[in-house]
Amino acid sequence: MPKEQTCGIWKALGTCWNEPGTGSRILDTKSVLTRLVMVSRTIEMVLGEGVPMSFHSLVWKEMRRRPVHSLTALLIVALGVSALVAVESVITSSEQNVASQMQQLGANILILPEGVTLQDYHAADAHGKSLPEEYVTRIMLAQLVGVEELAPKLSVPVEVGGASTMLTGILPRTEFYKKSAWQSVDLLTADLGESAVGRKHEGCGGRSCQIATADKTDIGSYATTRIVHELDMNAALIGADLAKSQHIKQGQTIQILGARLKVAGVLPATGTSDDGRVLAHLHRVQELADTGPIVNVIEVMGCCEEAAGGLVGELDELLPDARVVTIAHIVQTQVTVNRLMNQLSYVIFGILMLIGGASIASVMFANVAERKRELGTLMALGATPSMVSRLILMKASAVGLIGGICGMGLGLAAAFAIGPQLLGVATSVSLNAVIIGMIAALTVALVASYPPARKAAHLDPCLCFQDA
Amino acid sequence: MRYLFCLIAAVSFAPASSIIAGTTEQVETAAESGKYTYVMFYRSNDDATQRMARAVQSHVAEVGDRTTWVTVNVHDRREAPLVKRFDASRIPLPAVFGVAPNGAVTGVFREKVNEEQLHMAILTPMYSDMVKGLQSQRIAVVCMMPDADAPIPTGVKALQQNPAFEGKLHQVRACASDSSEAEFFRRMHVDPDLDAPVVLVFAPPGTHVGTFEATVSGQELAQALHRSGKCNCSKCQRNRRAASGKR
Repeated sequence: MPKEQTCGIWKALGTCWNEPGTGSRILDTKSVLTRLVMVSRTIEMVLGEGVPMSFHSLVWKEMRRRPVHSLTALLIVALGVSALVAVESVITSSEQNVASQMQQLGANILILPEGVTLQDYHAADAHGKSLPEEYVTRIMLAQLVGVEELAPKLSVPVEVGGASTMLTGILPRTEFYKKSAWQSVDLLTADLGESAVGRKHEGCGGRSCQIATADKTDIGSYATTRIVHELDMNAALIGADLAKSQHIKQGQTIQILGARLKVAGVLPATGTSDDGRVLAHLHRVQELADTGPIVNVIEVMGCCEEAAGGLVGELDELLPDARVVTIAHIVQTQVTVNRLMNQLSYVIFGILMLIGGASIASVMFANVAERKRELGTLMALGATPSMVSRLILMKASAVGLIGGICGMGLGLAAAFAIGPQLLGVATSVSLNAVIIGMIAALTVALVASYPPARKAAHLDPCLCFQDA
Repeated sequence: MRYLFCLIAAVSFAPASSIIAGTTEQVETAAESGKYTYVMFYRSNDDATQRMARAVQSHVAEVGDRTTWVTVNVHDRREAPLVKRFDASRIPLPAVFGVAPNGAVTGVFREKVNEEQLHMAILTPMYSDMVKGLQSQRIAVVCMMPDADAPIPTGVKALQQNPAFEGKLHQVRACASDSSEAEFFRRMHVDPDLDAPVVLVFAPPGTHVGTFEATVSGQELAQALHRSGKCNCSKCQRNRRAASGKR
C-alpha cells in the first residue's frame, strides 16, 4: 500500500497524528479498533460485498440506495425535456403541414361571411354562416384580373348509411363557362384592345381554356384541383375515408336527405376533411337542404401569388360585407400561433430546467452531507478530491441523461398522441428539440451538481469521521 | 311623391311582364321577327330597378325597330323557365341581358346600365353567329370576305380537316359587300375595302387568337391555336403544365 494511502487511513481513523516538525505519534488501541470496525462497515456499505470497486458501480449503487432523491430530480428534468420535445414536434409537423398546404393551394383566396374565423383551410365551409350565391356571379361578371377559377361550397350535415358526415355542394366548371360566355362580346372588345374588361395578369395565361377534354372531365382530379368540370344533378362524389368505412363503391346509389344520388366516383385520399365528405352539385344540395341560393365559402384561385395579393383589395371593394383572406393570411396566422407555441415551449422548458437544476443541486448537497462518512472513507482509501467530485458529477450526469431520455420518450409519445387530435396533423419528430433537450438536461445537471461536487472534494476525512 | 313615382315606374314596365302573358313567348316571338330582346330581371321595385328600367326603356324607344324588352320578377313562379335559363336567382339584381335573335347572350349588365352598353349589345347577324359559336365552347374561325363569291381560304379548310380540331370549330363568313355587316368589320378592326379575305380566330369565351391573311396555311393556324393554349389539345396541356411549373 502506498505510503500516502496508509497515512490517509490512519488519519481517518484518528490514530495517527503527525505534529508538523515534531514527528510525535499518539496511539489509542480501543479507539483504533472501534474505528477500524466502522471503516470496514463503511467500505462494505459503499462498495458492497465482493463487488469490485468501479466508478460506475459506485454511482449506480448510490442511486439505488437513495432512489427518492434521484427520482425527484430525474422527474423534473424529464418533464422539462418532454414539454419541449412534445410541443416542438407538434409545431414542426404543423409547419410542414402549412408548407404543404401552401404548395398545394398556391394563390388561393377565401371569401367568407363576416365574423367567421378560420382555423382550418379545408374546413373553411364548416361554420354555419352563409353568403348569397350571387357573389359568385358578381365576381365573374367583374372580370377581375388574375381570377382563374372559382369554387363556391355549401356544407350541410347528413347521414350516410348511419354515419354522420357532411354533404358539400360544389359548382362544376360548366356552370361558370356558361356565365363567363355571357360576356363574350365584352371580352372580344377587350382582346381587340378597346376596353380593359377581362385583362389578363402579366405573366399569367389569361382566361382559362373552356374546351373540355379528358383531363378536365376526370372527376378524380377534384382531389388535387378542387374543381370538377361536369357534375350531374343526381351524381355524388365520395371521400376516400367515407367510401372505405361505409363500403361505398362507384356506380352505387346512396340515399341522402330523401334523394337517391348515384356515386360518380370515389376521390383519392387527400389527408384532409374532404376524405370524409360527400360532394354533390351545389344547386342540388341547396334544393335538398332547402337553403335557397347560398354558400358557406367561395374559394378563388388566382393565376399566381402576386395576382392573388392584388385581388384582395378588389374583392373587398366588390363584396364589402364579406371577409376576404388569402392563403398567405391563413399561413401567417398559423405561423404566429406556431411561433407563440414555440416561445412558450422554451419558457416552460427553461422554468422546468431551473427547477430541475435547483432540485439536483439540493439533492446533491443533501447527498454529500449524508455521505460524508463514505466520502471520507473513500478519500482515506486514497481517493483524490477530483475523483470524489467526478463521482458526484457522474451521478448528476446519470440523472440528467436518464431524465433526458425519459423526457424524450414521454414528449414523443405525447406529441404522437395529441398532435393528430388537437391540430389534425400527423406528427413527425423534431430532432432539434431532442438534441437541445438532451444537451440542456445534461448541462443543467452538471452545472447544478458542481457546487456540491466541489464541497465533497474539499471534505477532510478526519472531520468526516469525527462528525460521524 | 315618392310613392307616386314608384307607382308610375311600376306601371310603366308592368305591361311587359304581367299584363302580356308569357315573357318566354315574348322573347321567342322577338327572336322570330329578328329582334334583339333586353331581358331585365329584378327582385323588388327599388331605385336601382327603376333607374335600370328607365335606361332600357329609353334605349328601346330609340331603336324600337330592332329591339324589344321584357321585365321579369325572379320571385314570380310563372317566370320560372326564363329565370332558370339565365340562372337569374343567383345573379346580382337588377340585371339586364341582351339576347340576340339566335339566342346568343350579347351582353349582361348588373345593377346599372347606360345607353352605350345597351347599344354595344346589338350585334350584326354574323357577329351574333360568332358569339353563339363561342358560347357553345367552340373556336370561332371568322372569314372576312371581300364579296360573296370569294372562296374560303385554303388554310381554313385545312384547319377544319385537322383531326386535332374535329368538332371544335365554328366557321363564320361575313362579306364586306353586305352593308348589314359593316359594324362587324368595324368592331373586328378589319377594313371593309378588302382585296383578299382576312381570317380571324377566337377561342371561347372571347380570346382573340390572331388575325391572318388569306394565304395563311392550316398548319400556321393550328400553331397559333396551340401557342394560345386555348384549343386544349395534348400539346397545349403540356405547354400549360410547363408554364405553371415555371410559375
